[in-house]
Amino acid sequence: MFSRSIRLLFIILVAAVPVLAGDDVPAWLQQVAGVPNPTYQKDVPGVVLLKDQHVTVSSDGRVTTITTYALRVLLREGREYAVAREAYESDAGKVKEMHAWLIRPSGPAKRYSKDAVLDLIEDPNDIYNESRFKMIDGSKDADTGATFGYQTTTEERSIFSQDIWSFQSRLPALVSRYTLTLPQGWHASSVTFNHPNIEPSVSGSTYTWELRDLPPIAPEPSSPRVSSLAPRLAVSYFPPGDTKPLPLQTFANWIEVSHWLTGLHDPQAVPDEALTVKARQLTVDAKTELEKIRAIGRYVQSVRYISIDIGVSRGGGMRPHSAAQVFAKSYGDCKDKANLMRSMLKAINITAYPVAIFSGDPTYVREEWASPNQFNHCIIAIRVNDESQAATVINHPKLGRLLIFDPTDDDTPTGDLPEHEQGSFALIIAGDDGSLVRMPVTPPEANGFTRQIEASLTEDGSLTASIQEDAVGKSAVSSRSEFRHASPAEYLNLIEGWITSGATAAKVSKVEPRDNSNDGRFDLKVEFTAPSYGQLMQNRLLVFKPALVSRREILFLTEAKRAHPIVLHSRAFSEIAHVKLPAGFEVDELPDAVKLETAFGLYKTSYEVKNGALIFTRSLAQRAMTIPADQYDEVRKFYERIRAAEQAPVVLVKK
Amino acid sequence: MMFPPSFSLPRAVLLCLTIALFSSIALAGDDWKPIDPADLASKTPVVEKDADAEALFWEVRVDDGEADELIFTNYVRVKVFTERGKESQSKIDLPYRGSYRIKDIAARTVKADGTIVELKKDDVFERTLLKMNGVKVKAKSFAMPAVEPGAIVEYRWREIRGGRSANYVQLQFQRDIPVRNLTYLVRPYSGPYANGMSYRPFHMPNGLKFEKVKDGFYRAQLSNVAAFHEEPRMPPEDEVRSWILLYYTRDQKIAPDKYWSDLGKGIYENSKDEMKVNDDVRKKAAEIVGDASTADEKLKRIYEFCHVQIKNYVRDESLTPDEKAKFKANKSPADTLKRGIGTGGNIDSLFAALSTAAGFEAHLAISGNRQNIFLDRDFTNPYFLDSSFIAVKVNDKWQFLSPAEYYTPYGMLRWLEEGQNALIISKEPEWVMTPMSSADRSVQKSVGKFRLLEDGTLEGEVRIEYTGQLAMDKKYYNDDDSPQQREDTLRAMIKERMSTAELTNVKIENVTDPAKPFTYDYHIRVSGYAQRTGKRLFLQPAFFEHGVAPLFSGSDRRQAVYFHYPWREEEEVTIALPEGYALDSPDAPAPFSIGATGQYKPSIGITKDGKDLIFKRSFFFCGGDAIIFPLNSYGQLKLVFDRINKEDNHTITLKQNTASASN
Repeated sequence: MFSRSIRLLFIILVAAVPVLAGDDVPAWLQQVAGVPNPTYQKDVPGVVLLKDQHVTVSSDGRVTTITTYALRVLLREGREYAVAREAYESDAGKVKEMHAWLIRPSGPAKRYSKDAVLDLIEDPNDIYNESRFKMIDGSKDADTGATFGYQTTTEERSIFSQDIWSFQSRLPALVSRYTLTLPQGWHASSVTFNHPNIEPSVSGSTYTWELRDLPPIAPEPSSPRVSSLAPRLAVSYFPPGDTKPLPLQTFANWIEVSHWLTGLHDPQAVPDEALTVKARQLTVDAKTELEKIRAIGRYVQSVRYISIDIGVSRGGGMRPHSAAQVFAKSYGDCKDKANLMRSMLKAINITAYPVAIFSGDPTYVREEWASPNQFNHCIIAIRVNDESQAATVINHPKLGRLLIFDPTDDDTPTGDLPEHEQGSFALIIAGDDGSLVRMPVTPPEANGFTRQIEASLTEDGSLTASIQEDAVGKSAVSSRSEFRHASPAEYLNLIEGWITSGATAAKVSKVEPRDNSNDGRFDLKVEFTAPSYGQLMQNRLLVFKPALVSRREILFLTEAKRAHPIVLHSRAFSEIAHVKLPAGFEVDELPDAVKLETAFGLYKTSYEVKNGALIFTRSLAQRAMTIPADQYDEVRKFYERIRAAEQAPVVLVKK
Repeated sequence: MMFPPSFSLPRAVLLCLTIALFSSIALAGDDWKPIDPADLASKTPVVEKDADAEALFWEVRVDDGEADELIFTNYVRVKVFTERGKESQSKIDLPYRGSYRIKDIAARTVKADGTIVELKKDDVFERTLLKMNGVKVKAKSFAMPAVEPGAIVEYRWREIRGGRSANYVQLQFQRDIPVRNLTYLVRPYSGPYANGMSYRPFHMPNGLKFEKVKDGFYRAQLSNVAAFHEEPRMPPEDEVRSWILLYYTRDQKIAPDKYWSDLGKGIYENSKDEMKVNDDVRKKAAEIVGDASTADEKLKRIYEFCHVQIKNYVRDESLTPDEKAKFKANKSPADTLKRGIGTGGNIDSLFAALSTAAGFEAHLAISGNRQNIFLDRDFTNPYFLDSSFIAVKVNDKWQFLSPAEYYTPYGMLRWLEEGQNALIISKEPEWVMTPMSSADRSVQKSVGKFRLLEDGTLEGEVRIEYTGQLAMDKKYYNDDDSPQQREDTLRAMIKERMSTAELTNVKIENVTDPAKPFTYDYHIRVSGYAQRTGKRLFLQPAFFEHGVAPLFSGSDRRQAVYFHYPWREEEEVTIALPEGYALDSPDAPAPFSIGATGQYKPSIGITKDGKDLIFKRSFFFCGGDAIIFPLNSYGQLKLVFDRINKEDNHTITLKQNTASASN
């Protein structure tokens, strides 16, 4: 409600950041500032000259981190990267020091004063969150050719004996280094992701991992996330086996992670009387187990998403609030919702388990590093009997049939799973029975829509049309999301925009959406008229496009070259359009039928004239696949040919 | 409008009243106004039929009774109708900073069955959003408990603004949700040295007044207020939203003409030294004017000197941001001349001084800004006067110029200052309307020379020039970007219309040139531009409109339509046709006129040898300074732009001749 005011206050204050000049630039920065610019493609906005993090763990569990960073701005757009930023948890850590400098290609160097340090909340949308960060914004000062550097020292106490380090973001990096210094007798192990294994150089109890000359990671449409492309290090460290001096959590395998998380979740999943009554009330008319799960799933989806994170560094970010409390207030975050659903199911004797997952990148979580820090989201796995059939049921070796469901996503019903979670590794939190499992992937036919069009074309080219769309799975989720999150006026506008983008000046006379989330469907009926849809030429030819409306989900692969793989999602659609032709005309020319068949998809069109009507069909089945960059041309041509096929006109001639 | 005259009460009485008010608030801590059972049972909104939530009442007491603080006491009751309403009304953030405080928060949810869930004290979180250099921006935040469709949520809080008064406080009468009863209670300051409080309603029902109630408060109330909805191309928000500006003034009864005359004279006295002509200025003026013979030529030379030769310190790249922050304005035109750099005000002042030295009458002119609101001279307050430029009399007519605006060509102002009332600051101030530049001053001229291949690919050279306001918009958008980013912007713009387009040899010129047209030059290849069937090719000759969606897609509209300025588009497309193809039943898109407001004029021709198709398109709009189209004309306006889109999409057919087809 007041988010605009908050934004305004931020802008006013950030714009007024004071900066003081000075020239005491440290030697390390002066040294890297002398490094000549490597040659990159002309759109690379900046290069990281040095990215260095030195973590020192003391025997009392205190972790001190010194971060040293230098960036050269190559284009004006690179200015936005000239920002020092250090995160901390206000309950257990602090940024002790933060210094930043700017070396201009000409003119005086500058040291940023303490007054330039901003201390900001990490997520202003959360009601409360202890995650904060400090920053110095050099983006207003750093122009092309400038070198911006900073050094920070943070101190924290964490219960985790693990760390994650990404060697780069999208920018290229010349030197990227992570150093870990442990107390005598401790040892560390590491796993490298998105890169061949990096062996550390070890000196005493100090380990150093380093990469050099990392190329830029250009943003591309339908590309894997940068978190699945940039080299990443996962480190675990352990005190000597015979000591247990600290409240540090170490994890040797996924069962240990499951065990630890179970300890956080289980005590919170105790149904109280009010919650039990509600669970019974919700399921009173449900005849099957799946119907009961759906009823409770729908209720929990309607609980508002509101996040209050306290004690994050002590695992508070992973411990749900008690189910009774969340039920009473009717709000919570993802783990609160999963926990509430679990408790409500428990109240009606259905067993469920929380599931830790990473939302946003299905390839982020890796099997080879057992850690709760790989997750950022929580969903639920419900033990179901053989009669409960759904595309998102998996077979767990110890727990049996599990229905996977995300109660935070209020547009994806029970029996389906958000696309960005499908296929990813997730941890079933079930004590010693827990394990890391692969999430289900739904097939194209479970994510498509069918469209039927009945249309009539008059001699002057005017069109009257009725469209019936029936969507399931991901297609239904997209349509449902549009429908639910827009006001009726906005939704009408959206539909009108879709229709008029293909039929200028169309008048939409009917829009009837029907959301049937119980069985994962969304249906839409639209009627419209479009004057002069067909173009009459010299009163002899009448030309029109039989693909009356666009498909709304179009893949734009327009660049000539590609660096990264192409990630395709599971999709299907089919359309049949009957267009009644005007009596005074006959077909002079029809486009050729098209059939495109590849490993990743099948597209077909057909044209037939029967009983004075054109019957036009088109269909696409696209498989969920990640296609190597060297096959980009084939993918791009596939979609270009689809686009061309859907622009092809039909020519009628006067009899 | 004025509040009735205030009475200066003795401080002791005032203190008693204040205590009484505070006591009543304190006692009201646990008291909520009774809820009408009908409201609890209601299932549909009253004010707007599709509203997701509706405020049953929204009451704000603005208490400026104390000299050193301003207190807002808010009480809001909202009925939630839908899941969307539940989402939007669930979370409350009350930000504050500095000497502001948020106190006495109370909230509760009353479910449709009458169950009450109170907000607990522990559920109100104080967050420090930002800390910097001793300044903190904080927020008190809470989530309303147990909200569901059908429930009523209500909450109250007090905001205390230390050290502030109600002068220039805006009272919003239109909210993001519809409101059945919206009430403001205002208590003006009435202590020592008090000016009278006045208020200015904007887009409020006629006759709405603050009525005196008790304890020194005045009340204004509106019923059934629709929510405010933003729309593309709508007039400035302050111009269409319902709101009231509070302000203190001594000049409550002065007629507008006298008010502005006095104000203008006052500004003149204070600013005349800033335009002072001395010998240096006189000498420079003579040097600049040189052999110019006409008034226009002289003025143009002075303008160009100030525009190009005097650096605006904001644009001076040799100055670091720190140096810019410390930059001190010059005290006189002679200083600006000497330093060759100045603030925008310094540059305009130098221009006025040089013009005066060259024999012109030149003055500072101040006006409103059409980006924010349309200036109304009847409102006797300088609040909205936030633009300034120079008025020069040429042949007994005022001409308005601002060389400080780097991209503004001679003879124009930036669009937001055109078509506005401007007060010329002189010994005898006067109001003059700044002219609106005609469509011919802001032209997009596009030329394309292409060849069409048999497979439907179109390939060729493009040049687009922008002048006037169009050029200014382009320059301001691009000037801070790197050359690479400018190219990327262009590519994205083209690919949005034609996804298969490939651009090479891109040249973007005059991006930071103050006077020359902004230009794009590029080579383009668009595969599948024309659609091919067995024996025909279908071609849209209006290349520059290919893939452009109709300007207005929605059938409904809530606000008037606002174009910033008149403009013209001139296009010429030459397409060399593929060998062996000829026009099949060709016809041309139809021209049409929109009265004095605009004209759409396309034409298609073919060269004598039949090899080249030539398409021309001329369009202008907002002629006769028609830049605002009232809501009731939306249907007609949409028809016009739909028709333009249809004609732009006109397709011609090329047919393969028999001889070629057999090859």
